[in-house]
Amino acid sequence: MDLVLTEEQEMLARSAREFVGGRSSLRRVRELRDSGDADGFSRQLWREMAALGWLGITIPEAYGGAGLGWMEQMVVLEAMGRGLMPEPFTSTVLLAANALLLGGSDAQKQAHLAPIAAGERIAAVAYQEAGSRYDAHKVATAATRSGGGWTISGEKIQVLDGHVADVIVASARTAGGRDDAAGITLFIVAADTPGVTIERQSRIDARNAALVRFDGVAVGADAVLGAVDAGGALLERVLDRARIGLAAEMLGSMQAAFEMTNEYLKTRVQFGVPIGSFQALKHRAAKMYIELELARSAVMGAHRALDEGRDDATVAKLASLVKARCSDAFVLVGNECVQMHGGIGVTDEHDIGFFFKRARVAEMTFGDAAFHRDRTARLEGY
Amino acid sequence: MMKRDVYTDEHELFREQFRKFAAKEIEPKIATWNHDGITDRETWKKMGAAGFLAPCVPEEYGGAGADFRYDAIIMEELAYMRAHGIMTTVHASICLPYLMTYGTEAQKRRFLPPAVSGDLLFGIGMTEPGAGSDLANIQTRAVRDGDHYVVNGGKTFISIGQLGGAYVTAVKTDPGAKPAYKGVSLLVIEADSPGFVRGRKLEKLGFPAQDTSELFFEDCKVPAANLLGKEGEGFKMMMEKLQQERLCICITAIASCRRALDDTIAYTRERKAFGRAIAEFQNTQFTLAELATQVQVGQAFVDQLVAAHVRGDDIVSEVSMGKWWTTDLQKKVVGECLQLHGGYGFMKEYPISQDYADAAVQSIYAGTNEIMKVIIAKRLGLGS
Repeated sequence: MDLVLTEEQEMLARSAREFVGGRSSLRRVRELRDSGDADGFSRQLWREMAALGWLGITIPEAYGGAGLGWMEQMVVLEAMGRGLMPEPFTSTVLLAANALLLGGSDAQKQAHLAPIAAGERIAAVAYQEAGSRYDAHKVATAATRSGGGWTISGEKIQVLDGHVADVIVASARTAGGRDDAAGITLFIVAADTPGVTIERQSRIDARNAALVRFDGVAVGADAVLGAVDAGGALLERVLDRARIGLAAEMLGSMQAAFEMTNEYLKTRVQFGVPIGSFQALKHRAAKMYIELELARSAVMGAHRALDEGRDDATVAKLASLVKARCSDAFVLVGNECVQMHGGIGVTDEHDIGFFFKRARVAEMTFGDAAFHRDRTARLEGY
Repeated sequence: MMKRDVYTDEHELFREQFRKFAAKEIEPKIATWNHDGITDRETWKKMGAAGFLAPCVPEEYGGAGADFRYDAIIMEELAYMRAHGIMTTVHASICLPYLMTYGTEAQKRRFLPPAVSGDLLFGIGMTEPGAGSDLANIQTRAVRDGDHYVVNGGKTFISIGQLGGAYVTAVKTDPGAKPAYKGVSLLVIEADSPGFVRGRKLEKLGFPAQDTSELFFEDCKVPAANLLGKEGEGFKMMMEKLQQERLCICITAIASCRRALDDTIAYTRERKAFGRAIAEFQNTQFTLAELATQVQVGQAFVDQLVAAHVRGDDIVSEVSMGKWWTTDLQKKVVGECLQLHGGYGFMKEYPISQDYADAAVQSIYAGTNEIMKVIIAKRLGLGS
């Protein structure tokens, strides 16, 4: 497995970094947070990202995408991570577009993927419930057959970008008990369907999520994504891809925090010398660098595996490996970067704290490191 | 070191006396013992004659009727000196309490005085090839036959396996008992019993002077009068006495940490690299400062455990915490100290290399550190 970028990918990475550097400063992230912006992201920037082709990188050309690979998407996600961009990429592209690509009928793909790639449609996936923690198969939200379609009732939490979603892919139980892996079905629901209420949640990383309630929401038979009762397995495949993508974004964030801190170590003077000249700090910086490089290899390996079309079992193991490693590494980097900045690091006026807060939220998104180590043990049969 | 409240002036006086004795009678022989793979009976007898072998045995059985802290002082000093072959811990602090607590008057009169003088050394026979932490699952069988038991089976990893004269041995008297632990009993099996066979002295990673061995029982005839307590109570007795056994490990772990640390501090002040003593490097300073802190914190906890144990408190959870934490710490301390010795740390010439090997078993015997966490979790009300 080659863990290097092609010349084209290098160019894409460079231009993505330049775009994020020029258009998405941490000051912008701060302003979105402090102004209590209704969207919590910039629709203008979202359109620019669409124009650059970022939203449809892995979407086939037939559905309005670029038909490129995961490695291309990885370098773009890294750049987005560097800028801690709050635009709804994880929800719309990593979760929803993949759900459609893996489970959707041709008609569903036609209907949704092109608008997603064009930046005209924001989509969310609602799969977590109170008490479900990281187990996507714990589903109490119920869908019952009525007439030719279905009626959905229940509540979903932590729905990423749910407050701005035009369309929501929701998991609901169509058979079995609350904890059964089987008997789950995914439904595509327009956010403005009667009975859907959405309540924005605010989070410490200034990213966006929502509570989504379904109160007797009626949808047609064509709302079913994939097969009835088989949504649990589909959801796992979708989550594995989202985990891998999120890991790339986390890698970009930790790289940026590390660079910011490395610069600080060289310029901050104490006891008459730059603090980076102290051996204790040199060693800790070296430790971070090692963790970063290991995380980078894991991220590239997982993306490469997706581009090589490896089987779901392999992808699942790599997804857990990369999410566990990046979760640990990002939390370490976040903690160390704040510590090395000293007193200024814990002030809100300094940007380094944004990475620290993002690390904790990203760590827990789609399963934390402990969850993924446990899942690895299960998948490997230990 | 900060004054340790658990030990009184009398205890410290005893420590001074023991140090003088050990400097003369023990320290000069350590290298020979390590080379020979065994200690010598004479030294044990000298320990007994000087009153250092089993001070906790009551006066009417030849001892000094001292409290556990006197045992603790001896094991601390021996561990600090690296005299690991003189296992007073096994003999006096682990085995003799079974006799003192559960023995009949006749058993006490028979076994304790020679144990105090060093004429009779005790070992403990629990572990079998197929039963380590899972003690209820032992296979050594004892069948009652008139006024004797006939014992068949084998034990392994038995400390004082060559020099020992008697072994407090866990046997199955009722293989059908449910639950299985109710079929376990304790017998004092003397080495001159017919059918008692000493096995090999085992080659080990560490503790070269300890005569750890296999023992076999081939239709071994043991007087029924050697039964400790009642049939079927062996497991319960072991569980009660394991608290002290594990506390002994805590005590030696911290003492060994202190020795490794003291030696390494001295080494880093002498050793020069890049034109200065390596103690001048921040990495050396921070590493040793961190280790010294942890050792001091560990010492405070262990001293508190000793005080509670002497008071007679139930500290099963706390001793289990101490056992896993101090032995994990010991492995970390000797590892980091070896690293600070650089290439010399890998040379037998520097005792830190032997410390490194000796530390390995601390997290394994007397219940593995994983078992300690099971005990703690159970006492936290977790699991069934």
